[in-house]
Amino acid sequence: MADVTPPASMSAASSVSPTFDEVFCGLLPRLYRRAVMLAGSRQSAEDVVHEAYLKLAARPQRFLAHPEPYAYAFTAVLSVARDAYRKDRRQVLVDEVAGVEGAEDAGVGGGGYGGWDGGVARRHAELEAVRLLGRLSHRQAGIVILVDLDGYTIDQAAKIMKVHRGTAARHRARALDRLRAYLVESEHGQAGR
Amino acid sequence: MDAGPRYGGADEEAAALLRARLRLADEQIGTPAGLWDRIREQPGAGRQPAGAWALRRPFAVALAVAAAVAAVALGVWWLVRPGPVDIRPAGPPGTVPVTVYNSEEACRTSRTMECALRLAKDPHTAYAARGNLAGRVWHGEVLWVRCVASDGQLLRDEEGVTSTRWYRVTGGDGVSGWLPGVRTRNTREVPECPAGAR
Repeated sequence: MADVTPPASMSAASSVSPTFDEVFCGLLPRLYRRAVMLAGSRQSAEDVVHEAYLKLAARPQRFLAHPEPYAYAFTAVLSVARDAYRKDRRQVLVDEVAGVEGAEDAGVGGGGYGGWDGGVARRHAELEAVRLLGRLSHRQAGIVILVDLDGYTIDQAAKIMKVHRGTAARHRARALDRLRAYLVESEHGQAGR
Repeated sequence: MDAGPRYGGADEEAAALLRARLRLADEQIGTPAGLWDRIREQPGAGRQPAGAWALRRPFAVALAVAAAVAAVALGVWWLVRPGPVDIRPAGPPGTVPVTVYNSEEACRTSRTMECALRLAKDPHTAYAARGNLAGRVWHGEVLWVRCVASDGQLLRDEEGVTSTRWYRVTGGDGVSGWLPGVRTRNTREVPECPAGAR
């Protein structure tokens, strides 16, 4: 009987191949970063990736058989983030954090760093991304992440999001419309509202 | 990799700025230590369907319970519901209500002596005979019929309806007598009066 005992890594999932965990674990850092941007906070992001993990683990074969597991997992993360947002609309996306704006004025924000700043610039970049994506619908945010961050083409992003190519292109165009003024102004140091 | 279709200058600038912001954030968000362990070992990581269904499950359960309660309540009501109700007014036991009918339309709203209809003492005597008056009723009054004599005097009303039926009635004020069948439009079965009651 000893030779049929599942390995320790499968303690909670005797019916699932460890390959699922391995693949998911490999994608976890990337998925977590996307979840932070979509969910608005690190705590929420942990919940989102956990929920996405459970969601995918319910049908591990679909995940493993998918030609691009990251894309499949990303749609799960996006879906969970959207559900969590709808479930608790009282949650407000991070807007301004005391000290961060001051840090930007001091020249440590944005893309340049003059040295260790206690993590302020690091948090600033994260919050800035959250703020940008928070202005978009979840679909727009999903398309923007896939195209502008992950480098997929509009066609590929449309396929991943299971929408028509024209719809995906329209989502991205509207997202850029929405963000253009904010991006340009903030680039010129006028982002204070 | 190609970032998609070409856009105008302003869009290109916005897209470039957006890409730069997102990539900067992406480079700087670190994965918390032990995240994988927490995900894998947290309660609930038991390969059960989760996500939207897990969020909606309490609502689904509540909905199912409410539907079951409604179904049981409907079934109980169906079993114990009251049958067809006889809405005739309450009266003395063994009687049938009839409503006085005056063929003269002008008299239906007037409660004058000229519009009164006679209750006779004897259905076999001429209706208008002197002394054959037991009481007076008017159009619309409800009387209680105990029985009917079908061999009374033949009467014809103003509309041409004829009948030899006479009803043994009692009025609400206690007056009793015989009401000619042509002075009502009864549709109920009424038992025949025994010979002694005439």
